[in-house]
Amino acid sequence: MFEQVVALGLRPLRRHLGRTFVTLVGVAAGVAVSIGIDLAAHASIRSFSESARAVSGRAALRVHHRPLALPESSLMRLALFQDRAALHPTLEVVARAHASNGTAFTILGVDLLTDPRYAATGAAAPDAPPDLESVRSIFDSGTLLVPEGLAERLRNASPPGAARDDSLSVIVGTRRYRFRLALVPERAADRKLTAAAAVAFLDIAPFQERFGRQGELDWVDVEPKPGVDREQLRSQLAAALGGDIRVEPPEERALQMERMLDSYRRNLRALTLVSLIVGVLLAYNALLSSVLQRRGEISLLRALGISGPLLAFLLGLEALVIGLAGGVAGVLLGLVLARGSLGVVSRTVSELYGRIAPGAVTLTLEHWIVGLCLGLGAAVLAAAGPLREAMRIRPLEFLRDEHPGAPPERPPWGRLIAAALAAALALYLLWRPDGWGTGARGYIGAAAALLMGSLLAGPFFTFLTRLLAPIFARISPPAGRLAIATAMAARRRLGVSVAALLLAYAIVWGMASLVESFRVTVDTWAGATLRADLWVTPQSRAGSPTEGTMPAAWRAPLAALPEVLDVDAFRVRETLLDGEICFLGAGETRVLAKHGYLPLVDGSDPRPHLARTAGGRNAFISEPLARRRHLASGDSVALDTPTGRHRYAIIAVYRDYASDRGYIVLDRETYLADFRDSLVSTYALYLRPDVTPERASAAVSALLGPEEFVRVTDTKTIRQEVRRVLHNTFAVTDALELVAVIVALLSVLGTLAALVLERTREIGVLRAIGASQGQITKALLLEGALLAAAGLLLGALTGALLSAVLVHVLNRESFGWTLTLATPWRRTLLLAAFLFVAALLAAVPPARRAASIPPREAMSRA
Amino acid sequence: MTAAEAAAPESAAASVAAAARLEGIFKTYPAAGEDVHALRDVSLTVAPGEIVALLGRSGSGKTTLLNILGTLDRPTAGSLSIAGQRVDGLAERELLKLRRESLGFVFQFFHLLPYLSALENTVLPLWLAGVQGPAAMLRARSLLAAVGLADKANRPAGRLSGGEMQRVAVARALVNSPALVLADEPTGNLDQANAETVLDLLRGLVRERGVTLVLATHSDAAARIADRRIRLVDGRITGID
Amino acid sequence: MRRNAVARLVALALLGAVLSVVTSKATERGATTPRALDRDEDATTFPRAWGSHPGAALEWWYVTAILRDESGRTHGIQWTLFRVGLDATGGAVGSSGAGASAWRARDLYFAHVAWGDSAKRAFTVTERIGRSSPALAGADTADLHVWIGDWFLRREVDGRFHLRGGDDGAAVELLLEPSRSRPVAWGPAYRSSKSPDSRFYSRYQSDPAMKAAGTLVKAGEPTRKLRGTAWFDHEWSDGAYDSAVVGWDWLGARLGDGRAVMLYRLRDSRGMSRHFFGGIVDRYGRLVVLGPDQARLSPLRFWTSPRSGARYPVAWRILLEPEGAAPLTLDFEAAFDAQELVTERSTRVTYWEGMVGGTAEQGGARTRLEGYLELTGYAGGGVPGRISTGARTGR
Repeated sequence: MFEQVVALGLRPLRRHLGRTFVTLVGVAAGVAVSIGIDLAAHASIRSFSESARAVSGRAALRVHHRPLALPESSLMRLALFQDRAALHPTLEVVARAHASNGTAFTILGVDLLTDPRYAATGAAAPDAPPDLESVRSIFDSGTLLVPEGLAERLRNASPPGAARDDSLSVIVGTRRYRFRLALVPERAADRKLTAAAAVAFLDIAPFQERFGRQGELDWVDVEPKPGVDREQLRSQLAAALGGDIRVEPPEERALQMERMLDSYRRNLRALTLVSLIVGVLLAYNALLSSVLQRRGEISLLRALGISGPLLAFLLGLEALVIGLAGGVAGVLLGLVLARGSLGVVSRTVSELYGRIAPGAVTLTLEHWIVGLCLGLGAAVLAAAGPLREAMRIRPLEFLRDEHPGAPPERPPWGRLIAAALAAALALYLLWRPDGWGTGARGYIGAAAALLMGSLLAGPFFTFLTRLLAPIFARISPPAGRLAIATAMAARRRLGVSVAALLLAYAIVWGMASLVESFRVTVDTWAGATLRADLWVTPQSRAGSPTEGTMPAAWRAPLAALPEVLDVDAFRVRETLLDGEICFLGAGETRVLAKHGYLPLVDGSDPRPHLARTAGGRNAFISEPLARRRHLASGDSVALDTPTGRHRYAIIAVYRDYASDRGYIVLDRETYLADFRDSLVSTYALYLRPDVTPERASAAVSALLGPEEFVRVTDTKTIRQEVRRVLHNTFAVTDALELVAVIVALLSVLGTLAALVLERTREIGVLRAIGASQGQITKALLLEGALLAAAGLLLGALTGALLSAVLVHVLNRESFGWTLTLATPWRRTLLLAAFLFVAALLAAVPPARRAASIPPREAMSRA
Repeated sequence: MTAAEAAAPESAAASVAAAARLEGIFKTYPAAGEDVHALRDVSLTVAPGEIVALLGRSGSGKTTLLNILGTLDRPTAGSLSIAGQRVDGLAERELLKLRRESLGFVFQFFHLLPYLSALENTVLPLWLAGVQGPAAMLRARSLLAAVGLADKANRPAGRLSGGEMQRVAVARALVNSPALVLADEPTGNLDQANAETVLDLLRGLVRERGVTLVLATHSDAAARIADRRIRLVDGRITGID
Repeated sequence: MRRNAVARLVALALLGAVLSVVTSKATERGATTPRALDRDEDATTFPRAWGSHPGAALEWWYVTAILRDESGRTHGIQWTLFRVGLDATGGAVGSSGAGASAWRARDLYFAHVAWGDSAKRAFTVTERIGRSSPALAGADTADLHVWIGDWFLRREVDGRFHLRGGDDGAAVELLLEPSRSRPVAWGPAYRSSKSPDSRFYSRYQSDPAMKAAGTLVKAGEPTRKLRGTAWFDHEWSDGAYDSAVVGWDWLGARLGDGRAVMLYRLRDSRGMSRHFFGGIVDRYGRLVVLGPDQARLSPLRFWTSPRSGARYPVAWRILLEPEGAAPLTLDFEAAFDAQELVTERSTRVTYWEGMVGGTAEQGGARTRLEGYLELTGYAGGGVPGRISTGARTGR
């Protein structure tokens, strides 16, 4: 009995292979996008942890004074703990291999004599000691120990002309350094890992001397001896060190980075869920079609006395198989997708949050579980409606009327009210973007907007069909009338497709608008803010503005250039504000007040504020930080400095789109006094009015000479750079948009194909009573057009609401930026045209096939 | 007497253009193993205005014969003329024209479009044939009135009773003033009372308009309205009375 | 362990490399250049002389103790810390001076801790390395305080020496009470000649009989209280030595009558003695020096190490003929044979250093003898000789 039931349940899958395939693709695509993007984001983010792991080895605690350096003198106090733990002092710098745009990797300065970490990447002790000469050079200032995996990667990335000897040229900051290379042997299995972790080792003494870090450490890793309680040690260390020196598990930094990346990941995840929803709609459509097609069979089974649960099982089986198969296919597809999109995601993460090397994409059991759950969940969700439909079929119903009846003509008040409520919720959130709750307002708003669209899909389709009926009748009476009639008949089914299409279009609209809003806002902002004419930065900097520094001594000669009117020496570094990483900037507010501009959130003139900042413990903070920390002018922020903990009064909040991590900007004078750090991250040059950037750029290059690897950029290029970063940031949304569109098109195709299949007999009758193939095809095309028009029109409406929510609520909440809502009309309209045509084209093949069936044959089909 | 011989006396009427003339019609469906011979050498002439009933058991070939008459199916061999026009060998487009202008259909399962109103169902053949405007609607209405459904013209067909549906189907079959109406078990799905109403209507309307009617049935009641009754057994005409 | 092994390997190989540079440079210069080593006051002024002598390329602090636990079992403990100065010879490696990192390896530190249990015939060695750095390893110049991590030897305020060493398997901590106010000087101003012509010499101070008390903690065993006597050596030199020397035999022994005997013989590759020194010091600190013609050294028994294959003379009869006194005969042998320190996976420095016991006989009077015997240069040939000699030059 069971086998027969299973066979009966699964038969439709085999019989309608095309539909099964489309449904599977829909579910799989939804799952794939969810899994794939998550995998890619995970792999990107995990490389933080990988590096952290490679760097910390077996250490259980890390002593640091981030963002400040740890004075070497703190080792005096730490040394007392050597009976309980091994200490590994460490310094760190980011280097680029071969050229300023080469592969970035971390050089750790460690005590090669005693530190186990440089071998922690998996190095195995060779059978014989290395020859003395090569070991001797380890202490030598020129020898860099590179794990084989990383060495291989660097070698592969080396420029064609680069010498393939045992030396490596790297750029750190603005300088080129040449190191001898010594390979750390490692197991083949570890090479991939070390290549990803990208950590090389230099002895601590040459590290300090060559990079000018004498007397400083970045951190000390603490490896407790067996039997030593970590937490007890931690509190003892903290007590002994006192002050602001922190003792934390080494994962802490990776965790901080991960927390920072959370908003990015959250946004991605929300977007991926959308494609899953579209997939659900697709599956819903297919299953409903299956139920309707098997009405006769079901009604017969009812007549034969099949029990409700058994029937549900029978029908649910189809959903189950689709869910499982879709889940499996989705996970595998997701893996492919993740591999494909890893580069994009990693680049985005790198540019937003600092350098990372993409990790390996690895499927875990968890992914399989999540993937299968998503697939099954989607299928179950999709199956609920059709199942209910099936349960309503009465026994022997088929004997009276074999045709699926038209739904009753009752205004869908429930739906309309629900849609109105959803719209009201979205509008309320727009009105009060900061009103209540935390973190979820953007999602709730977006969900409300999309819910509104989905709820209206059916009613709007009916409305549009009625509205267009006279026009259709006039344009092409038989086909037009037929189309209207059949559309009305199948409006529930078509409504689902309308929903799929409108969701896809709304999402594309919303995301494109968000991106456009960013572009327009940032363009305007960049125009207002980037007033300097030339920017001098270390050439090796690629990601974070904290990478690479220049000496303060350059300021005077730069300012003395006849082409230069004024110079703003700007320093950017990381700082911790109550344990949260953000940027600390220090600029010459005097220069900024005279020549520059700082767009304030309240719209007021920044100059008096800038003038007020100079000399005191005052700060400007950027909008994202202000929002996240609920700070406003008049508040203050407390920062750890080498001269102790100081409070800085917030003078004003300024608009900044360069980072969602947030900036605290001090006056350089104050910074120099409090932080005792004279390094410069960027020199902003204001030129005399008659000087072209090209001339000044040449003068700067001539002044600094060829041995300094600096980049001199004019403002135009900077703006392009800003745009490029934005573009990369949103590159992944393009992929998501594409998937949503494809799934929606599949849904349209699936619906129309299913409808045609269901109407085969009816088409036969029509042919018998005088309908031509052309008329039938045309009617179906018109129906497709109706569907597309309804989906796109309502999609535009939903998209407009969604874009407002994304820009004003979600973005504000996730990133803290104020954006001006802008819609890329050309793009959205072109897409609408494309979707419209695509929906029509999707209708053509089934229409043609249906019309070509001989009438007698068609009429005899069930 | 063979089927061919049975049809022969009718050749007297051949001087007038026959409403339909079949000669030596064979219809074979390819099937696994052995071909199925649905019709074997059927010859038949139907005079204009005549009502002919095709009688036979299920599978005797009457529906096939009706479909061939209705140009919904092509014979394997033999020739067919409708209203004096040779039909076999016509292109699909010409067959469509023929169906639009000269043929009307009534089906056992009504085959109305349930989401269209009774009126729309009735007028549909006219629309499909490109006849539009008030004239078409007027004609459809008058036919609905003729089948007694003037008051239900705007009701969706899906919500009519079986008898009403078949009456709409009758109206639809006549709306394009066909020369020949083909009805396949028109009462097969109706109770006796409704069946009689439909049969009366059908007979009345075709007589009134001089339309030829060929109906396939196994109901004696239905056969009674016919001028001639042709019996089919295993695809052959076995008797005429 | 694997990772540590790599680090140690690098370090020890490095040490060898450095030493070969140090010693060869020192050898080249010979005695012609004025040397820090020549300044007597750094060797004769206490407590300064206990401390480190950065002007000297090589220096070590050495404690060998024979101790008994509560149950009367004998434990031998060796604690050694070497300092290898790199700056002293003009900066063998890297740069120095202004802007130099505090981690710039001016000194390398290198320690061995070994303990033997004569009842169990168990012998364990641990090693550690370090470098000059802020606080993590170092050697004080003002007084005795040398350390690598939590291994240290220092003079406490009460004048006692305090040492600690060991690893996760076992750790020892001892307090040593000096037997005299100043250590024994084996030559004028603590000079110790290393060649017949005294062209090569070191500064060498010893306390042969420090009263020792402390604890030994072995993993999984109760803490043992130890009592006994320790021999303290502190020696530094510029690393110069007679290049023909490949190894030596050294004995530091206490006699039951309160005297202490220290003697060493430097051997060439054929096993012939290149230089001999012997000294007998009585309980009042009076020193009798013996020359090569006043001693006869006869190995009585050899032990072949199953690990290194080296054949060590582990039992001896030594006849000493001090001027104006009856000959002194020392008969002794290893408390147990397997007291070899094998480091062949790293420096390939393999030597024997262990407890010995026996009798001393002079003029018919017999007395007990206990002490430590050190045998170097027996394991393998070629490169290790140079490294091991370098590490142990001048003993």
